Amino acid sequence: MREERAEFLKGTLDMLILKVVALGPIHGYAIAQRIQQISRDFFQLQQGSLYPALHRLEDRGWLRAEWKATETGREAKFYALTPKGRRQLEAEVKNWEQLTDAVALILRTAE
Amino acid sequence: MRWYQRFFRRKITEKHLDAELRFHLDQTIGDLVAGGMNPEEARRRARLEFGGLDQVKEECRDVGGSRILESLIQDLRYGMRMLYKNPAFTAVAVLTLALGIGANTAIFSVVNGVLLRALPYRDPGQLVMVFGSVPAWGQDRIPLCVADFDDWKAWNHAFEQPTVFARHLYDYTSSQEPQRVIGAAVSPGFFSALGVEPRLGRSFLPEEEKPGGQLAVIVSHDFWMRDLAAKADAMGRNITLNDQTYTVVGVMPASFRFPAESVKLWEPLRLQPPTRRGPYFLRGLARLRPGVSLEQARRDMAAVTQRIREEIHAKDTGGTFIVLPLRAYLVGNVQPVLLVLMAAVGFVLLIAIANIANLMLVKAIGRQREMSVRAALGAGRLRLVRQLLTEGLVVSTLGAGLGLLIAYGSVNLLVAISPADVPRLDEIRIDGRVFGFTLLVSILSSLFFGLAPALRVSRLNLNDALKEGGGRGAAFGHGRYRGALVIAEVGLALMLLIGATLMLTSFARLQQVHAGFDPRNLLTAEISMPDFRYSDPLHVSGFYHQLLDRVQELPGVQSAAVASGLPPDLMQLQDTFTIESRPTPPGQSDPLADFLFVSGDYFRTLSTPILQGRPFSDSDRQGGPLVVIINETLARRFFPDENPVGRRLRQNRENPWMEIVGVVGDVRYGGLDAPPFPALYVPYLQHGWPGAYLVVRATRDALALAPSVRNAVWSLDKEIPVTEMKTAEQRIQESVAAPRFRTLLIGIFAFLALSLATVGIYGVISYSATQRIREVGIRVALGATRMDIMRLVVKQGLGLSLAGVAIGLIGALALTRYLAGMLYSVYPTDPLIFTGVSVFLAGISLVASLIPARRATKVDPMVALRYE
Repeated sequence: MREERAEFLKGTLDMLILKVVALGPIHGYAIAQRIQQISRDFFQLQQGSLYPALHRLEDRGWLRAEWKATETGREAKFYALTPKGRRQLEAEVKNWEQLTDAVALILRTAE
Repeated sequence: MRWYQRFFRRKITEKHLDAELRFHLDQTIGDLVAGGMNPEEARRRARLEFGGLDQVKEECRDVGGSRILESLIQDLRYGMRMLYKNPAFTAVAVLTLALGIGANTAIFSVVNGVLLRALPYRDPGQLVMVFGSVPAWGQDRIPLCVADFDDWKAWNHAFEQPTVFARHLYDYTSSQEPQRVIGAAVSPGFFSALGVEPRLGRSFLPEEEKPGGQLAVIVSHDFWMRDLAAKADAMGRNITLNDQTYTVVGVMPASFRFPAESVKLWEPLRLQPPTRRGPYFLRGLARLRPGVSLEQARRDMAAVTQRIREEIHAKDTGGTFIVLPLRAYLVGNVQPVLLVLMAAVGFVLLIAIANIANLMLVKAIGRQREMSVRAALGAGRLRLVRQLLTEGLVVSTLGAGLGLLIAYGSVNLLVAISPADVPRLDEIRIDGRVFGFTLLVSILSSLFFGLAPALRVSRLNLNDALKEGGGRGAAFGHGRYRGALVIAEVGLALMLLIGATLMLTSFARLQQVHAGFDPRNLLTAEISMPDFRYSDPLHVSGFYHQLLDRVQELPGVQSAAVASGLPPDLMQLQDTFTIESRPTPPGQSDPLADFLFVSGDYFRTLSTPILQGRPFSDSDRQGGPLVVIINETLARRFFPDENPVGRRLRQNRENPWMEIVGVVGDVRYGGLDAPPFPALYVPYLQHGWPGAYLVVRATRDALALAPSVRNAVWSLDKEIPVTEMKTAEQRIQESVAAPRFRTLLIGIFAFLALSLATVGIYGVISYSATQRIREVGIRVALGATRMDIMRLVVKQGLGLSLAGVAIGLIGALALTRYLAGMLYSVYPTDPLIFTGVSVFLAGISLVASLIPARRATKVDPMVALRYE
């Protein structure tokens, strides 16, 4: 049931995008597909909402965009991680891990 | 990419955004079709999963800083396009605003230059003028005498060094042609009191300020430029003034024009110790000691007055001193006029703003559907409000720009046509302060225009507005706001119209005042006799006698005379007089009268009637019995129940008695608006009086006589300047230049207000009639006659304007008393004018609503009912 799938936590979409892009240059459609596949369709992604996030990350200098041909020969906008983006990703992942660890710890010890 | 790069590459970015999103959609569709879905269904599904395409685009564009500038540019372009597409609206709005802002800036420039800008002296707020005042004479600002000055210096505690000055006339003969120059003789400390030093050279030395000292003069920048060729070595040069050699020791800065613009020379005032109290010819100028208030200075002078009375003249005249801030002395008489003009022009701007607010509102209602569509397509509320504000800003910027041009033109015009007695005229210009004022007005008004419609739109209910005909019903809710605008406009216009009508009536009555003589075909001129060559009174009278003989022989001359004063407003001498065997009661002042020295034919030349006794004759000359003729006012006031002819009176208390030989009709010498004043005429042949006016009664065109009269003077003495050759009618017109000027301006403003208000009423009523077209259709279908429909529409318009008239009447009752000082023989609350103007304005608004009313009656019910 689609309706029951989780919405993104605020701020997590940016991190997921950076993580996916870190694997190599990739266009928007593929990013959407990848996130849904990897999360096993757990996240409900209103696909349109991906693009404002991409443009925002590009504007902050974390992503770099380039128009390139896809395998089918059609032009698409490929996003790649900048060094600044990589540092941001590392910082966010570290943050995330600390957060989930802390939450997990609370959940475990409070039992 | 930086936001500014993004801004300049906006088009490319937009294309890229389109391509990127299309790629995504196409990819989704492709995958779905590959999974077996039919293309139509796939397309629908892809769009659904993607979400609102335009919203996504808007959000993408919103990233980064480019949005603010970019959307502003977009709003501006859109606003311009909307204005361009509605040329009538734009023209009316911009022109209305330009007139309002232009007139305001012009008047504000004058107010700024004359009233607000600081006087060019050190700490000008501490500078005061000191005059005498004798309440019993009905006169204040009487000059001081030397004894007054000495007592003031000796006994005051409130002033830094008191100074006095007196105006003098100089014949300057070092230049090619002799000229008469106005100067001032100033006591020590005059320049340092003002805090201004000569630009070149030096102030006077103490020895130059003592009686018998070396003659020194400081000249104005003007005089230095024109008559001394602007040479730095002019210092130390000798010039001839009144046949005496003066050394030029200094040049004042160009901005220094004290006590008046016309003053070009300053020399030390060398006062001899007084032997009596009088004559009165000095004006006091002093700086208050630091920390001393005007009030304290006035109390201090009251104490000085008290001491003068106690110690010197126990039975003196009851005179007092008045202390006046320098600013009040310089601009006091124009201040109320300027403030009234400022208020009037402010009203015009308010009406203009109300009109434009109304226009914008009407337009916004018309665009309600458009706004709903834009909102539905994802425009944020803030964005819509911002766009409307931008449109307001475009209108007000255009209006302000055009207004500034209008202001520029009208300031020059104002300076050109304003009467000569407005001080500091040369300081009037549109400067940064004035421009700031314009800008502020225009920004505030744009906020105001934008806000009314913007507030409306932000309350907009999308569904209602999008529904067919939804916008129509909503319009009625805002009738109240527009109604209030009309009421305000009519109220303001009524106040202005009443003010203007009062001034106009006053001016018309002023022009009808009989000045006591027949001004037609009367030529007048000023003949300045150099004092130093004509110091002997007999010499002077001899000159006049010869001159009159020559002028009277000229063809076209009926009669000619000389006099020391001239109607309607030139009076050189006023003095006290006493009547024989009627001593002034102790503690009272001797009465005051105008004194005129005239030649025998003066009354015949002016066509002033002899009421009793006889005119002067040739036998009234030096050596004969002294005679005097009095005017009607003096006769009525001092000889109410007796025949004054044969009684004797004298100038103040020291002169010989003169016998009254006649009574003549009143002639005005104090201006048309002043009531006749007691006057004494004495024959010039029994006295000498150097400054004189020549009056010539011509048989035909008086001005045509001017060259031959001038030649007659020069045939006697080539070096006598003959100036100010004018007809008496010209002099009368000039004497009312100030009231004419303010009446003209108020009239223009009132006319503007009336036009704007009429447009406003017409606009609102005709808009509201269009809005009610459906209602009209139904009424007609149900059997309403054309008369019923007319009544329906007109009633609305008339109701609003009557409410405006009521409010305007209350406002006018409260405000017109500020005009009282400018009105001649009209009450500020003249009931006839109040009623007349109200009826007139109601009539105008009736006409303004009749036009849309007639149009409403032509409505075809079938068309109206279909009308959406």
